Amino acid sequence: MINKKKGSYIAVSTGILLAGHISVRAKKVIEEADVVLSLMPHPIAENWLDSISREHISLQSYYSEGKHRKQSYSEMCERILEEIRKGKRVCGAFYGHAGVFACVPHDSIKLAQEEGFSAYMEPGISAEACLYSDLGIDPGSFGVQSYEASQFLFYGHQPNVVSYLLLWQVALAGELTAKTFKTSEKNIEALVKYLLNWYPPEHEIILYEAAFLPLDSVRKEKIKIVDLPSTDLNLHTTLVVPPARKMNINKELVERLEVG
Amino acid sequence: MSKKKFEEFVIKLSEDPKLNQSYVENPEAVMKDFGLEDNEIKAVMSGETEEIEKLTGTKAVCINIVMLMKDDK
Repeated sequence: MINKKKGSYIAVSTGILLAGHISVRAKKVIEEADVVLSLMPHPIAENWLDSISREHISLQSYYSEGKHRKQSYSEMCERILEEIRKGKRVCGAFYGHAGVFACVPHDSIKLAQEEGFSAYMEPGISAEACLYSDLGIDPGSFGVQSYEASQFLFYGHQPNVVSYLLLWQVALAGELTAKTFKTSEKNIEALVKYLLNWYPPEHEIILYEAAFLPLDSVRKEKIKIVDLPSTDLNLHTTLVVPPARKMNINKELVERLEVG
Repeated sequence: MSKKKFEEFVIKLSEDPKLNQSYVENPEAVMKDFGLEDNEIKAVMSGETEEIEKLTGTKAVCINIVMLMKDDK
């Protein structure tokens, strides 16, 4: 027999494009929740949530320059838990896919479950999903490696140059404090230097930004790797590094399979 | 009106691919048909981020994707 406490929690994904990417299920969760707590990328998106929910609280105010982001995330989770403990049907609304490169949705679900509440996540359209559509890349063609840019650097991930490499949040690459929303040219130069271990300086890369609003244009700017430090980067810019060489067939393995 | 009307238009554009396509092909006419005011249409047509943000507001800090040094920093 299931014995859950009265409050419940669903973290929903609202997709990237304002009100246009949300799933039927996720929208219904928002409409039926007692309270919706959100992290959205734009005031219009917050106003849209106001218009389709009973009560909406933005979690944006927990962010601030100079404040450690771990503290912000912890406070956001606690705010969500406060509402669940009141016995409400709580919805967390997160743009993109709530479970992709996002710790608040995962952490808040885990905390709610640990306290005995029903909690789960509704998937959605992520920035990565938009990237495949906007850039016409099929991840099945050559494979894709996807990293948060700072993690890629700090932990020395090694790219496989026959596949695509996606580096998320490149504008924060090498930013160690987690208290600011920008990095330095020096850090971007360090990223470039690291990439040059595998890629030629003239290798063409793509700076990608999905459109949050239908008025926004999608950024698909092609530059050379060496030009990255002098290029404008935004918090939502993703660096796409196409393969540097062709895939090679593992003849020995294929022959063995044919014999078998 | 009109901030609300303008927001309604942007939301509608995001929900309706057909309207969005018409907007891409002829933005001025679509905005006029929707009942947006001349200053709003002018701001959008200018393509100036600053002018458009006067109508839409500015992008929020949108880095809930951060997992930076999750374990130890």
